[in-house]
Amino acid sequence: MSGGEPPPPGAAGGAPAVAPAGAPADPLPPAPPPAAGAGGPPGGAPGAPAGAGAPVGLWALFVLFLRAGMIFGGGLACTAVLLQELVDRRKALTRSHFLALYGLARLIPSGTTTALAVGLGQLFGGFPGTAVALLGIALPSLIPTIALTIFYESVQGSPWLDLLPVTLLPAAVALLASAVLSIGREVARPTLEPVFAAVAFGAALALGINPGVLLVLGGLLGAVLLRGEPAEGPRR
Amino acid sequence: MSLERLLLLLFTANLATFGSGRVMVPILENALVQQSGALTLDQFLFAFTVGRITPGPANLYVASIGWMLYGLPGAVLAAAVVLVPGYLILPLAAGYRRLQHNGAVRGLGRGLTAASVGLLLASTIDIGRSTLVSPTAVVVCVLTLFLLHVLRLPTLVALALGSVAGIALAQIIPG
Repeated sequence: MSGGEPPPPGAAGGAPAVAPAGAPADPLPPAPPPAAGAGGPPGGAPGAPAGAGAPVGLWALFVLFLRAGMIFGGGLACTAVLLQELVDRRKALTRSHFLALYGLARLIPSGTTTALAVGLGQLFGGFPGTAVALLGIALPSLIPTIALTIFYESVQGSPWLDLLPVTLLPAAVALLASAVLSIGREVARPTLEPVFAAVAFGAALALGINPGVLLVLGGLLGAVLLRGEPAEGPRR
Repeated sequence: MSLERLLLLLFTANLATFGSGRVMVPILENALVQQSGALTLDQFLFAFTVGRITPGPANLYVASIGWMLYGLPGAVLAAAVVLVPGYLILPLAAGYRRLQHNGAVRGLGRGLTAASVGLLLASTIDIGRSTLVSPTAVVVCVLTLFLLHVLRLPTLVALALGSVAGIALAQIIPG
């Protein structure tokens, strides 16, 4: 991998490293207000325009996304790092511009972080920028994923594998249960949402209906039945 | 399962779940483990766990599945099909004001989230039934959940502690 490695994930500092990644309604950590007054940020870019535009080179872009991709804790934590770096430190774009892009990225039926990477990459580097940003955000995940899979396959048939049923496999069930709990909080509102969840649960477990079909049905029914209230945070 | 079918499955599952690695579990488990038997449940759970202990976007554990079935090309292509839809943001950025306040779009997202909670619970129970078959496994699961959700330890730490407990218990309680 590249030479000048950015600091390890621990360097995320106050970033919500343990934030449940499935909590999209609680957007970003409260950031410091944009230095009230035009006193000028100490040491800020001289005469940097308020709008987007401070140039960020392709290499810098790659390193930046590589660094964001190294953060543990899911997309929200990655986003927090990008915000910190691009808005607070480099002042390459305004907070509201960033948040607008983030809002858009959440609408994309793919990972929010992935879409945000494409959006930001395009902004600073055109099409090459998008490729560089995607590569940067994906590599820190992809390389260990493949390495661990190779490791898993290489221990097939060894006594190591006998340990899996009492170690990583039950722990994986705990990960799933924890996902249910954290996404469930998102839905626990006095609306139709718990009904949606209950119906999907019953239909999948008792009737064995294909989960993909149920998911699409849930989305379509939601577009009709859940359009009313503003979809704000789980508990505010 | 052919490579094309695998990629199509990953592509659609990723889109249908808005890129949430966890919400994809019911769909992938149904298609890869139950229907086609391309993977064993153990393999699938391993891939999912890898996704949780590596940094970055959580849906990239599909690369592990790709590797298990088709080696390096499988891994790279699997990652590509869940990354590329990010490009949808470019056309969307044009007319976003209309969409962002569109109730139907919002409702779609909420409906998907709500249904996926139920589905995820269903597949958790389903997977739990075939995984938590020894007292030790149950203890490890409950302990890990406690570490993760009550003590809010980082995933990697919780998994490590749970696993160590499992190894220790397995020495005491045989079988």
